[in-house]
Amino acid sequence: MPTHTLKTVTGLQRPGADGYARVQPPTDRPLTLMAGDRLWVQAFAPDSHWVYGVAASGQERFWSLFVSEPGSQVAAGERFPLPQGQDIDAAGAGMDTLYVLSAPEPIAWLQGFESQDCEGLSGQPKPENPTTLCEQLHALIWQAPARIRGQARQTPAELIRKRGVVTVFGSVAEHSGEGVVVVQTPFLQP
Amino acid sequence: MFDVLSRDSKTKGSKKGGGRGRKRKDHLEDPLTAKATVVGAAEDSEYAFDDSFTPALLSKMNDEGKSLDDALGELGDSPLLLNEDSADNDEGLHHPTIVSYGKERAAKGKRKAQKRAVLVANQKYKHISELSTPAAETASLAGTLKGQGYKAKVWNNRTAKSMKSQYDDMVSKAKEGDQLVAYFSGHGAEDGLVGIKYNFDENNDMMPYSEVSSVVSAATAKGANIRFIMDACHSGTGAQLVRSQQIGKLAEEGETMTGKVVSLALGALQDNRGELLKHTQDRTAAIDEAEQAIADHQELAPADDAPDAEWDAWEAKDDKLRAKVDKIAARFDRKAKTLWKRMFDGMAYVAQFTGLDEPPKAVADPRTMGAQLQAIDKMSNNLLKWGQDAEAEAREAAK
Repeated sequence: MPTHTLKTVTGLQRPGADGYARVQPPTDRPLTLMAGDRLWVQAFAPDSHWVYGVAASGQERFWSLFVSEPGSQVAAGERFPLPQGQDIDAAGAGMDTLYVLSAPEPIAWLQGFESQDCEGLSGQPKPENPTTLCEQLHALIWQAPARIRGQARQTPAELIRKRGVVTVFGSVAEHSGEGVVVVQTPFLQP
Repeated sequence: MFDVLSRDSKTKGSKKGGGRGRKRKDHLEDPLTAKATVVGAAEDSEYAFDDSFTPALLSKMNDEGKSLDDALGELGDSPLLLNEDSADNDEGLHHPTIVSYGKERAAKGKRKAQKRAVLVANQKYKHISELSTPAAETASLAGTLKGQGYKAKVWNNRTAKSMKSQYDDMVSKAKEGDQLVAYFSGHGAEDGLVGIKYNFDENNDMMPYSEVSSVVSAATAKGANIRFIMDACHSGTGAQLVRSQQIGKLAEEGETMTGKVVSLALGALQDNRGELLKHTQDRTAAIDEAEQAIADHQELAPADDAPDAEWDAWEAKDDKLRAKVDKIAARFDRKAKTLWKRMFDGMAYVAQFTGLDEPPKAVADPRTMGAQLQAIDKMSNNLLKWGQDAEAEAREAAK
């Protein structure tokens, strides 16, 4: 199976007196996500791939943020914004991790996925042969690049740029592999 | 080299013993000591990662049937790599480091030695990002230790004060010959292990490495054998603190020829270590400053609907600032290689002379110099053990 790379740039806009303003991502910690924020995700993946966005709260609650079918990229093989800016509701503000997955084929267990509570799986070991939806969601932890156990500087923010319409600075996540490739972007709670 | 020095040291030690009776007698009153092992999952300058050190430890114990000590020893011998294609720390290259001292002590008389373990898993934090696997990894390690007869207690999401209190409690109950394991899984900082209320800005809620060292020495002072295992970023600093204390002790108290020669060699190695570490710190500071300039420049970005010319000017400056980061990194990386080239010859000579492993010639990750620090640590450990053994042998002979 051929290797491919998935890269995401994730940024926020926050409502203010003059409308939405870009949030400058800190270089030494994750973005802080607040209710009302508008989330921007720009994914770079082969244009023949399916791309999924899954939000997680505390390894216990998961919900679908977006699905992109192959060919929906703005420029073939290049960048495409997913989705076109999305307001985070109060429930969404509980998101502490955004997983983005890309795969050459549709991921069967994510087709039609909306949300799932998986209480009791928090702190459990890696499921060897994930079969249930919760096990599949829990296994994402080990499919994404491992988290760093200390204060790591973030890759300098890149630009999610759509000149004349919106400009957002984002945090970068990147991973390569075969089949399903997963990246994760952590968020802090206010 | 060691055999020759040992013979010298015995002679020297006996002479001294005869000539300075009072001091010798004090020296011979060996305090109650036991074996201590301190392990950091990553070198001082390095990150540690979820799903790395502890799973590797468990694999060695559960799949390969190794004892805890053997498994830890092997992990301190080679690098861990999350991503096989990678050769840098952001992608998961890190070098566990270990230091051991003292001799395994058995329980006295008919008393059966107790085996106790206190394991702390810090996964959910109030002000810094959560981790994904400490709870699961700690539960697995506790299960393995229970299978080996340990009474293992897991504490999830603790403050530094609470962690220290649990480790202290275990030590306070320990008796001579007991086997103790103190384990920490979670965020680590350059100064210590991080509690769940830690805030990077305030450096609060932290168990400093000096307290790790004091837990270890409190256990050995009671004659209890202890392993303190830290699966956290920069935790090699904790192991190095204990190592440097032992090196200092040997330099101060060593009376044999071996002890004195080894102390000199250790001093030179520690100077090299300090120089490498300073280089990585200087590099980090310079890159941080340059990256901060990029972030500051982003604050000055034009409005979304600003004219193209305004954006073009802003982007040109952004490109320039990013190029500056690359330039600084390249300069430091060249210097890292030059620095190591100078140290390598001396270390290779010591390795050849003593029969120890030769250090790696190539610099795998010039940002952290992790492989170089690990090589210095391994050589220091071996030399330290020789020096300590020679001192102990001389004390025995004088008795």
